[in-house]
Amino acid sequence: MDQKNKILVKDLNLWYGDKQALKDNNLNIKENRVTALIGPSGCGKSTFIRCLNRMNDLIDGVKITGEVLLDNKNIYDKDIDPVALRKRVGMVFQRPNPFPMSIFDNVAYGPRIHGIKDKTELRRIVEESLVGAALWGEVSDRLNTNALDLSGGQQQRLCIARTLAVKPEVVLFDEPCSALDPIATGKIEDLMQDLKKKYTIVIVTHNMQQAARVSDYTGFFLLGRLLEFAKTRDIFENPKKKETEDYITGRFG
Amino acid sequence: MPRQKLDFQMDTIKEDILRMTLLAEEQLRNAMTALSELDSKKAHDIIEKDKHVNELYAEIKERCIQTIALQQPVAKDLRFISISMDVATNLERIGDYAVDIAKNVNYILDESPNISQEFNRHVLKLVDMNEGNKNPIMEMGEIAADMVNKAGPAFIHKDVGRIEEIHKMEDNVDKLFAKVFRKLEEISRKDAEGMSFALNIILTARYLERIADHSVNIAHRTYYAMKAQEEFI
Repeated sequence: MDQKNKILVKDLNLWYGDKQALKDNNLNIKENRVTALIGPSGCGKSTFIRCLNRMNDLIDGVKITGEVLLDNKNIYDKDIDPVALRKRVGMVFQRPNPFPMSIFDNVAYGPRIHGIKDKTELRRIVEESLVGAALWGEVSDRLNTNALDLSGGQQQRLCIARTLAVKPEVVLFDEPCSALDPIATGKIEDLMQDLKKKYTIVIVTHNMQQAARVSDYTGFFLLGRLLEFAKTRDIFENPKKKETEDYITGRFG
Repeated sequence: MPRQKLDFQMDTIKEDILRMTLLAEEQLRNAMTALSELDSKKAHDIIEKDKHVNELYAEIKERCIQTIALQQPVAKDLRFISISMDVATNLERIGDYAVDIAKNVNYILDESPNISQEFNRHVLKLVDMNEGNKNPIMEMGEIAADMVNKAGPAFIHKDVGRIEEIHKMEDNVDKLFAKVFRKLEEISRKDAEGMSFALNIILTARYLERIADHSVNIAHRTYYAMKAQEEFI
């Protein structure tokens, strides 16, 4: 049976001032699946993923039309609180960006902001999140050390734990491995396979092999349009559009 | 131009497959000549030359694996490379069947030093069954060699016309095989002396039929390389 749609994007357009960056995009993101977005630089894939938790609201001069339905509710409706939305739709960025504080406090940061004060409860959330991010085994005996002392790969998993700590439903990854070595990248990729059992994952990546390895569905963006969207296997074995084939086979441009 | 290295590797694989096709076809035609002339020297040459077919097979396979490892092809490039490995395997098997036919020539000669007359006698019996007075085994050999000749280029040039021809030719090979089989069965029933000869010729006919099948496999895989439809793998 087809997996339920978690996010439905309908006729999404976005302008930075006069420049249109996204054009009439429609896309279904399936629950508990990994959806990868690929495309050349400047194609709009990062802009697109940032629309899914309204990160573009923070940029001056941005105008958005269309709808992004999260569980059938438009996240751009006036009654939606962007902060509450970003709790449901978390994001992991390109460069690991831990706060300059202890490992524990990094993970507990979100829950504390959302009002959790009880120490036992916080400890439980921190452990659960670090286990979920496959980092617990490496840091359980030094939760009070500064997060900046961790390696790049560990820092990125810490950021994932920090995202998981507020119990999101969707996790957006924007180039999560581009600053990591192959071993750390492998750990994050393995982790995604675990994460998708509980969360819906969307990942933007320049690394096509990574998209092929980790995702169930792949969308190819070009010049602000989602040109092709299909099961990852179909995109990488037999894409329907010539532009997609040119891009994934490296004959683009 | 992007992907120069990948393109270079794929061009080399194409050239090698065309070379291997020519070599396999030549081996088969020579094997049929060795059979019709009962020429042990020719048969020996074919067995000896099989190592060149095997070398080309190993080269193609190695290049394909290396290209996958180092160039990470996807979509049509990956299909082309993975099917090239299959096609090389088909051609290698065709080369082996040519060797089997050549070995049969030696068996026929070993079993009876004065084979020529006996052979001719039985071959004549076979010829009788064809209106065009063409030896059906030789005709099978001709068609099978033509199929091989079309199969490699059909794959390399994604030539649908050649693929269709190969399918039609296979039907002819199958019909001839059935006829040859019935006729030889009849001969061996009537003529105990001709039993051993008949068995060798039946085996040869079987090898030719298998060669035709391998050519059809190549044609099928060409469709897969072109259209990515699983039923053609």
